Amino acid sequence: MKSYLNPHIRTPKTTKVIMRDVCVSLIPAFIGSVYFFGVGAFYLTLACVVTCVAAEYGWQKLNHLPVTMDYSAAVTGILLAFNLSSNTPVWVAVIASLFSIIVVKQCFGGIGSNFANPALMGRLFVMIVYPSRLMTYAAPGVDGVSAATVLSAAKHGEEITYSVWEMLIGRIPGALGETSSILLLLGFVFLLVRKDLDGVISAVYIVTTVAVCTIFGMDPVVSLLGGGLILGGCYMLTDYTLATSRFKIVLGVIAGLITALIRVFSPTYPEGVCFGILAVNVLLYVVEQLKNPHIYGVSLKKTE
Amino acid sequence: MKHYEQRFPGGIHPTDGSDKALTKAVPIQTFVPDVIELSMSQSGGSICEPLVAVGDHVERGQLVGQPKNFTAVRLHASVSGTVKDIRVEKKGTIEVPLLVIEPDQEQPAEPKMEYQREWMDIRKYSRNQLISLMEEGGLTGMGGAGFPAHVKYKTDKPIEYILINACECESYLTCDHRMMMEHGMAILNGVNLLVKAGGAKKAYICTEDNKQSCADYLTRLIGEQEVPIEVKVFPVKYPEGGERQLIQAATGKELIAGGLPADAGIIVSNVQTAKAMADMVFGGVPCITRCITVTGLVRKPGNFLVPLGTPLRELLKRCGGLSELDNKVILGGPMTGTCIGVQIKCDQIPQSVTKVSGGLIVLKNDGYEESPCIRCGSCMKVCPAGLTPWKIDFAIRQGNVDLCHQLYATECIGCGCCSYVCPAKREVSQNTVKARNDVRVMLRERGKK
Repeated sequence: MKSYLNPHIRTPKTTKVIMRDVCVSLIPAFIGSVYFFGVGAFYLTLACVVTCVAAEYGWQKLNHLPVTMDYSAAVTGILLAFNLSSNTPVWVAVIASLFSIIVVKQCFGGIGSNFANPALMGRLFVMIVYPSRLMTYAAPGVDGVSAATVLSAAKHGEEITYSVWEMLIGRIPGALGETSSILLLLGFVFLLVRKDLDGVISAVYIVTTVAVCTIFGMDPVVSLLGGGLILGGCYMLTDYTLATSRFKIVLGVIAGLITALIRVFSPTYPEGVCFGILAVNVLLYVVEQLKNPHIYGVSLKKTE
Repeated sequence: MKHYEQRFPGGIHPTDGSDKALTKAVPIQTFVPDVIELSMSQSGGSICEPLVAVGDHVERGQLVGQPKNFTAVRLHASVSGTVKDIRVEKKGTIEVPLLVIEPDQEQPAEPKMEYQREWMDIRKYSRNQLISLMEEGGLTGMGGAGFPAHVKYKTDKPIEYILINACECESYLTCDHRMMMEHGMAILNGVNLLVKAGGAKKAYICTEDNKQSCADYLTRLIGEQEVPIEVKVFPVKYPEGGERQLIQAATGKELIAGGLPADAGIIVSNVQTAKAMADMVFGGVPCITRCITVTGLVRKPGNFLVPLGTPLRELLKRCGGLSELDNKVILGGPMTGTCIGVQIKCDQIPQSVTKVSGGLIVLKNDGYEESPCIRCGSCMKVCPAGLTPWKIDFAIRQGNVDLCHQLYATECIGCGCCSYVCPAKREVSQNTVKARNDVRVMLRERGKK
């Protein structure tokens, strides 16, 4: 049912347009992942996207809910794939996608109502049910040989054999979409130009993480480019609930602190991005209670 | 004249100015239509009792409607002519009589008097005299709400400022703009009268910087004259012309929740109300005309200073007709107006010009479909009242009026900013207004117990 209620002019920006923009912004990093990790990256991403979209459609049909079809499931699919190693079996990716969409997103009420980022929850799911993927990721190249990530190597005091340039373009071991910082940033600039995001929370998060890591003696370049900081900060933390919160700076700092502290002090996890972001996802509702917004005329009434 | 930066929170910039450019350079046209359809409900919720019968001859300015409720004011014949019919129109649940008047061939000439050219001496009028003139002349606020002017000005609260609302922050509308350019002196004389009628110290004519030329013109007219009138220019932002927002922008004051401007020593009136005031006092013509912008997808958009009761279809025909058949027609501004028809032709529009019709806008037919809220919080950012519209939206959908009350739904001004920005195209504004009204009903019922 179309509505003809006022206001009669509305911004052309719709959920669909925003989510489509996000898909477009992830294309450079996707191409990069196929280039670095081979055709396996392509199949994995395809599997995730198809599963996510089909799962959302199927769930909405089965439950007689309005079918949204707004690209948000595709975004979840791409981001989930970007968080997996390129040698992850396709069936693991499919199960993780189903978990993301059905359990994390739809069971809580679909888009906007999920308590945490579905793609990150999918990654957490893989980490728990398939823990061998935790420490080693496929190294660049089609052979899919596993290698320690830069962060993991740094944690164990091994020498970093990758140059800054390699880390920047993404020729390092890691999840298939997180390695190429420069391509991810390219997409992020597109989102900024389209005014889909303001980038404040991302900047605060990345700066906090790198600063805290550096204070505790980590190499700032490694902490910035060696793991999933850019992918997490620019695409996962920018979930609309977080990125447009009145407390986005506070949230960015908290996420950054948690990420850095896990990176520095955790005996097992070299990477803390996932936990940092999920933590603020959950903390959001607590933080929102900190201060009530100023409502016109109400403060005057109370002082009377 | 100073360019003021003092602002109100929230707000939006819905258009780039090309919408107003359609009509802002076109001089106001006047005409008397072949038929006048004078509604006895000239503003929302008001109703008058007709004082004439079919076949009667009425003179322009003759009293034809006696107010029947609190929000109504006297209604006068807008042309000289013969009452051909009295129809009954359904407006929601109430039945509104409508006078069909056939204008005479010869109409009395428009008064071209000195108040339109030079400053008038207002010393001979007392405050009470002016207020009773307002009541006799049927003056309402011509901004859109249509509150009876004499009630507003009769306040016993001490009034410091009169704010003349010339912001015209709604896109597409330029009728206030053209009125200021073409009837500047009459407006200033009217403002002078309003200051006296309110017992105020000073009047600020508040406008936006897309009407800088108007501000310059009015400032030039004021010149060295010793009148308590000053022009203020604000940067363009919707809803600058909202009563509370205008007060905030002009004086930095907030009204107490639920309070009236008079509580803060302020009265806000539209610029066309000032013009009507001058016409009434100096020209002896009651409130029987108004300027309306007819724009959008019509062949020749323009502004029209026409008698009340001019059928909207006549206005559209004067504009060369609709240039788009897959259209939606809006009466009022695009943000707060009402859609009076979708995919319609000129002849299918039954409404006519009233004291509060500021615009008739033909837009492309683009209805909206709701999708789930994505919690982006855009609605909170643009809300000039500082509300959280999406939460109120959820609460009222669940019928939780108490929660709406806790979320201060009562402070919603109905500006529509939240719905404008919503990427999910949810009817946030509609629902928040509904929540506001429901909370008011709830509080009233509680008060009774």
